[in-house]
Amino acid sequence: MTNPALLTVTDLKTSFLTERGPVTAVDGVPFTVRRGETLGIVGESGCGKSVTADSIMRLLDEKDASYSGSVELNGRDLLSLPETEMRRARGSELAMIAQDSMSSLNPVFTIGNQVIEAITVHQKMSQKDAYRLAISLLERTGVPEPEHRMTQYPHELSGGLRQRILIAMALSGNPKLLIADEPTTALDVTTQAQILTLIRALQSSSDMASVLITHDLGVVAEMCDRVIVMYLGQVVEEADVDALFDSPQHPYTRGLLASIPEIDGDRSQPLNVIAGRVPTLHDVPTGCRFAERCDFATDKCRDSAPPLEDVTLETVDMLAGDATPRKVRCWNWRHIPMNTSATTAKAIR
Amino acid sequence: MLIFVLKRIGALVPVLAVVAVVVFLLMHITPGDAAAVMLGPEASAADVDALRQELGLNDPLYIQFFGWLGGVLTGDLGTSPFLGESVAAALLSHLGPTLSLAILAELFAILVAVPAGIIAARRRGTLIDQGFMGLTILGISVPSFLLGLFLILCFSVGLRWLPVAGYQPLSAGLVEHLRYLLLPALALGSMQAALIARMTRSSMLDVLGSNYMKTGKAKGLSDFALTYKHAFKNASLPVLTVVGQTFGSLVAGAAVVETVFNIPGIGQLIINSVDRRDLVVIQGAVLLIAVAYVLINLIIDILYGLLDPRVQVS
Repeated sequence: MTNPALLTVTDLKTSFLTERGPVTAVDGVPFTVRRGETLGIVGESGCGKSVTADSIMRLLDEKDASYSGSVELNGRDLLSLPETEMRRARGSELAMIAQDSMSSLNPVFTIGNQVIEAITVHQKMSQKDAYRLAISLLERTGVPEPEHRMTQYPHELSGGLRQRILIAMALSGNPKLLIADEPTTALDVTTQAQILTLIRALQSSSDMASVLITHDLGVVAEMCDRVIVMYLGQVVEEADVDALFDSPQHPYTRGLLASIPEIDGDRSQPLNVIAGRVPTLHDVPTGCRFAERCDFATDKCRDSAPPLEDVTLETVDMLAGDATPRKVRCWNWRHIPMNTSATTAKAIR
Repeated sequence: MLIFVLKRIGALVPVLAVVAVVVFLLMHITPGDAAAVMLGPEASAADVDALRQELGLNDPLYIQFFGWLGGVLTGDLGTSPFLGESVAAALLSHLGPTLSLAILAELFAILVAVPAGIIAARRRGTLIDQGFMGLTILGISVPSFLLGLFLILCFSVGLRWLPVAGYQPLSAGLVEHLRYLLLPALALGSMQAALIARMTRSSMLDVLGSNYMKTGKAKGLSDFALTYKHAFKNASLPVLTVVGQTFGSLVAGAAVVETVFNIPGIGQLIINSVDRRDLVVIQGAVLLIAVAYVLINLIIDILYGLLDPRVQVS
C-alpha cells in the first residue's frame, strides 16, 4: 500500500471518573485510516465505539475523562494539542456527524444560523459569502429548497433532512476525516439508504476518509473498506471487509455475523444470539474479556488476556492475496473450526 | 407570531372571568355582614344600614356583580369609606413604589444570579460551584425582614451610607430614589436571586449535556460561544419561568419588606386596609394583584414564543 496513513491511533485509552471509581471505556485501541478509506467500527452497545469517536475529536468533558496513547492526524498528535489548537482542528481537519439527528441540532436557532456558524467559525468571509456557501452545501447534500430551509427551525424538518443538514455542517470545512457515529441509526430504512448513498458519493468526490461507527453489519458491508470489531473497550478483530465476512476469526465476530437474521430463514427456529451479556466496565474479567460468553473458551482464556496478534498469510490459506494485515485477539483462533457464520455473512451481502 | 400572541391573549379571557367572580365574592364570603364588619362592633344600626345602601349590598347578587364589573371595566373600583378617595386612586398612588422596588429587586436578582448560575454549572463540582450553591441555600432560608434589618444595621446604622427607611419618588431625582430603594431591593431580591441561580445552574447543566452542544463543539466553536449562545438561549426558558413567578410574588408579596423599610406600596396599603377591615380596598388590591400575575404570565408566554420557536407550534 502506497497510500500513507491519515489517522494513526495508537494504544488509545479513555478513562472516566465515575461514582463507582474509574473505568476505562476504551482500553488500548489501535487502528489506522488511510486517505479516502472508510473504516468501520462495529460492536454491541457499550463496547466503546462512540467513546472512541469522541476521543478522536476530544469531545468528552476533560474534567472527568482522561486520554492516553496517541491519535495522530497527518502526523500531529491530537491528544497533546492545546485546546485552542484542537478547537481549530475540529470542524476543519476532522468533522463529525452525530448519532441522533433529532437532538443534534440546536432547537432554538434556524438551520441557516447553524450552518453559517459552522462556516464562519473557521473561514473568514462575509455573511453574504457564507450564506452562499451554506446554500451550496445544502444543495450538495441533497436538501431540497435550500433557501427556504435556511429560515426554518430543526423541528420543522424530518429526521433525514436534519441528518443532511448535519452532514452539510460537517463538510463545511472540507475535512480530511469524517467521523460518522451511527449516522443512520435513528432513521427509517429508506432514509438510511439515502443517507449512506450520500455519504459515499461525497466521499468519492473528494479524498475524505471516514470512520463509520455502527452496530449494523449490513451498513459495514455496504460502506466500509476495513473493519475493526470492538468488545468491551478493546479491539478483538481487524480485517478488510471482505475478509471479515468471509472468514471471521474471533468467536465474537462470528457470533455477531451469526446473529444477523436471514430474510428467508426458518421462522420456527429461534434467532441466533450470543449467550450472556457484556460485563460492566467496573467488573472487567482478568482473562479474555469475551471468555465467559465464548463457546470455545479454555482455562487459559479465563486466566490471561490474549494480545491483539497478527493473522499471518501462511496460517490462513483462504486469505491468500489479502494485502492488508489482519489482527485478532484470541488465544485459540487457529483452532476454532469455521462454522456457518461465514455463509450467513455471504447471505446478507 | 401575531397569531400566537392573539391566542395567548384570548386564553386570558376565561382566567380573568374567574378572577373577577372570585374577587367579587370576596365581599360576600366574609363571615357576617360586610358593612357591619367594616364599621366595627361599635357602629350604630343606622350607620351600618347607610353603608349597606352606599355599597349596594341590598341589591340582588347578580345586579351587584354586573354593577361592580361594569365599574371595574371603566376603572371604577369603588370608594373607600376610610380613605375618602377612590380605590383606583389609592392603588395607583401605592403602585409606583411597589413597582420600583420589584423591578429593582428583580434586576439585582437576575444580574447576580444568572452569571452565578452559569459559572456554577460550568465549574460543576468545584469549590466555586459549592460556594455559590451554599450561598443560595442561605438566600432561600434567610427571611427577607431579617436580611432587611441586618442591612439597615450594616449600611444605615453602622456605615451611615444609606437612609434607614422611607421612600422618595422618582420625581425627587433618580439618585435619591435609588438611595432609598437599594436596601429594600437587596433584602427582597436575595431570595429571588437564590432561586434564579439554582434554576440557571440546573437548566444549564441539562443543556450542556445535550447532543446539540456536542455538535457545536465538534464544529469547533469556542467554549464562550457554546455557553453563551447555544446553551444559554435554551437554558433561559426555565429561568424565565422562575423570573416571572418571582416577579409576580414581588409585586404581590413585598408587604413585609415594605413594612420594615416603611415604603408606601401596595403591600403596606393591604396591611393597613386589613387592619381597618376596608373590604373595598382589599377587593381592589386583590384584583390588581391577580391581574398583574396574569399579565406577567402573558409576557412570559410571549417571551417563550420568541425564544423557542417550538412553543409557538404546540
